[in-house]
Amino acid sequence: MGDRTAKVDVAIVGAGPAGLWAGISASGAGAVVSVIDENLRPGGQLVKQIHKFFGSAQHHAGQRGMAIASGLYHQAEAAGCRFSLNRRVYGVYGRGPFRLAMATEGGTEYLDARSLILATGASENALAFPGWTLPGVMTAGAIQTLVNLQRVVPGHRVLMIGAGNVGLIVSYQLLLAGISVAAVVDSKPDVGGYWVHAAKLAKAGVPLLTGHTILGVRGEERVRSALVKDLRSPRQPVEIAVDTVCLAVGMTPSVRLVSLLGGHLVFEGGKGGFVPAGGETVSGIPGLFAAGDASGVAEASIAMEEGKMAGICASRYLGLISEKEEQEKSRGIRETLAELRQPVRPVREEFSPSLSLFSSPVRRVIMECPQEIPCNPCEKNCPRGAIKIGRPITNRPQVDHALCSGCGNCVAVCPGMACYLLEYDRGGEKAKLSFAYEGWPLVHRGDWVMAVAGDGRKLGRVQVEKVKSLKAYSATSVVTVAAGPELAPYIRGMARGENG
Amino acid sequence: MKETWDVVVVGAGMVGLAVAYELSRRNLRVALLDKGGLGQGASAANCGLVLASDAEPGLSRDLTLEGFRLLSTLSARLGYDFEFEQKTFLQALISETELAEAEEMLNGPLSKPLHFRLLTPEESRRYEPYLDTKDALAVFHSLQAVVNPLQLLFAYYRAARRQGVTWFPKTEVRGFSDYGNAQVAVQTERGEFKARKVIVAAGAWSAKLLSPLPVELPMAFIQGEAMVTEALPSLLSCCTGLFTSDRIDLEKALGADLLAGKQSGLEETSCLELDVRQMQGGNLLIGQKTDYNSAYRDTVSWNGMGLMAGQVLRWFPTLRAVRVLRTWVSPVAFTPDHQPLLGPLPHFENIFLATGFKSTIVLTPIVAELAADWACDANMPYDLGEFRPARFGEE
Repeated sequence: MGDRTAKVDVAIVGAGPAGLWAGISASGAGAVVSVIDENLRPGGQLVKQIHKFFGSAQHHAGQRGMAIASGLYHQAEAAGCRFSLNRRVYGVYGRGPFRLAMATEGGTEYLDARSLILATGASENALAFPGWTLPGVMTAGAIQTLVNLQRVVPGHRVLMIGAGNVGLIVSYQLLLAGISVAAVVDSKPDVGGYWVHAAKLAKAGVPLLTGHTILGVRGEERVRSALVKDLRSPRQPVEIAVDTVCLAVGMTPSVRLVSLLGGHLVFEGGKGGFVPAGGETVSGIPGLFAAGDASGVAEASIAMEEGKMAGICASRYLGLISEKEEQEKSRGIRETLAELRQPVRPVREEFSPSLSLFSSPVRRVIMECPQEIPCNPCEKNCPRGAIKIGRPITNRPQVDHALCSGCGNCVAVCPGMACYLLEYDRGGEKAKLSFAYEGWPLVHRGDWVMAVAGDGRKLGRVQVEKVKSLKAYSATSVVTVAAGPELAPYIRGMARGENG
Repeated sequence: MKETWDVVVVGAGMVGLAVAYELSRRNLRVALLDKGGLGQGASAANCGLVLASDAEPGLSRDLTLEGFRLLSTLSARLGYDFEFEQKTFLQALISETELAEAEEMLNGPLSKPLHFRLLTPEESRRYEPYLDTKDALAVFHSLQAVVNPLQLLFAYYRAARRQGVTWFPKTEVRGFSDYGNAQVAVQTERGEFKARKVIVAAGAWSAKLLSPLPVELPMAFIQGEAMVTEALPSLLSCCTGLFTSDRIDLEKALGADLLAGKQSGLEETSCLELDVRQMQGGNLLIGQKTDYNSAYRDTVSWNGMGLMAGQVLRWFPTLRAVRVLRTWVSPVAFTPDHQPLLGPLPHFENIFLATGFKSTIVLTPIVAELAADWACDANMPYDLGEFRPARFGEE
């Protein structure tokens, strides 16, 4: 057994955004690091994310999740991290060193680590209702694995339960895969996820049924329909014909290894349930740290910062950096985390162009970004500095239209696809509107497409004047359509498939 | 159509509906025709202002004042509330010229009935607290009225139908033929309508509609652009606008060109007459940018929208974020002398034309009565000679 026990300074369980950054950060301080993951590919949930991420440039905002995963993996490898993939940590024995027992295809392997960082993520919650065991009811993570990784269509018409970011994002991913989304149901009165995510669905004509709940599903061998009830109305539930019900009803931090080591857990509802006491430094167990969803469910950018922090803490624990270095390195991270952890308040906003838009000069960027969310790719990618967000990163963008050159970069990079460019000819008789577009069907110059408003309303057929697809736009096209001046300010996209 | 109507009314806009209603009140058998539906031309695009202050002296002013009086009691007669409301109009005066002009109006005959007054910018804020009067020398005050134009259309329609008017939508007129025996046959895509008399109230399309007849009608289009915003809580209590004489000068120049039958050489053929008011539903109605370019178009211009929105924000900066629900453009008839075409056609004495009104709503009730008087061969209380359609071909 002794022969098979490798020894490292830092063992990191979980190769998601938190684990990868913890590895980069600890390796950078000179530690010998091993990153363990049960999957064949590193990246955690990132590998399933085909949409563009929010956040700042340092958190790879504007990139798609799977691209971030491979980027971080290469960065961690370059920093010297060793990866132990396809291994499941089933036990930890002893605290000094921590001896990890890993199940592999060839049997158990052991690893001794002086310090242990748990970046084990979270597990999805389920929701029980009559019929919930029928084939066709699955969680958002499962449906992402099927659709985005294995390219299998689980159904043709999906009812999404949960209007948090996961529910909204996965609904949009389903639309990109050509699957129709019947509705998004949430019992809360407001959409819990970002407004811009909800807006992408609204544009596609997907009803957002807040204040509704699912009462059950019907079907013999698989889901045939779902019963949905308006919680504010005495009326009977409506039956919606769907073949798949997707559950995106929150996540619970995976803290079993903390429990196994006898670590103290506290309940924090806002973080998804029981989390290790003490934040990144698990209290009572020297050398044990937690990061990412395992220490409280949050966004990927927060997980990355927490991972960096855990790596620094572990390095300090090992004596690889001084206390002063630790303080210097962690100050910026704490500031960033404080910004990122600002609660995002729900907004109820429906957009039509405002009077100030109409009073504007010939060219105008429309930014439908009403919510204070941590995101700034528009600012970073504007070649003329016409867009200002600054700090905190949750500020809403301000546009100086006098500086705008109309390049359309902001339209292309906005992860919320909430930037539009409105242009008029000098006589004011003809107008053009540019919007971001991704996925199928492909669109070409000269095509006639059905223009839709922000609420999915069909406005009329318009002709595509230009399709701009740069490599830097990461598989997004900026589509410019020509329309009359009375129509153009209202266009927010084009219809696609059944949800169009 | 075998039967013979007493009167065929062509055009189901504001004037046509009112005329049909008045005729049916006099127990005439009336057919109402339109190439589309109700009020699909300028009527549905109307801003609903009941304006009397700019009526020119003479017949125009007499009819306007009578129309104003009739309109204030009309909703009781029609049995339908079309949101008629006496309203304070505020017009910002931004130049010495305008100030002088306004002072002249204060001494005019309309001053008393319409409550003309000059307010200081500070005083005007008592009427409209959100009005930013920083650029204004003074504010011209008058008491006029507004209606909901769509409701007024419907009120007339309902009353007319109740009294037995027969309604033929989607019935485009193609021509007229004389049948003798004091009869006219109106040819339409749905067959022939025989009538003793015909009243044409087809707005901007009247000239085209009458083009099969050898009558000279120098008419052009004015394109009026307007917008409506989302509903807001009660915010504005007045109808606020600019006090400008641009339009009158422009109309004179263009009227002369039109009469001479030549294309206007003017570079700028548009002007803004801002009026912004809050309707009873809470929506702000903003009008109107007028374009005298005679080419018909069915899309708004960004310049026009920009002018309007810019002016609204100049006087009400607080409305910046208010969302615009809809914009539109509508053609309105324009005559060379800016006076209506009201009266029988030359050589076709049983065809009566009623179009080209500058402020349609205020004139609608009185015009309807006059047209009905004509159809009944009754004595008219006014001499319409000034407005006779034949006046342009006579020199």
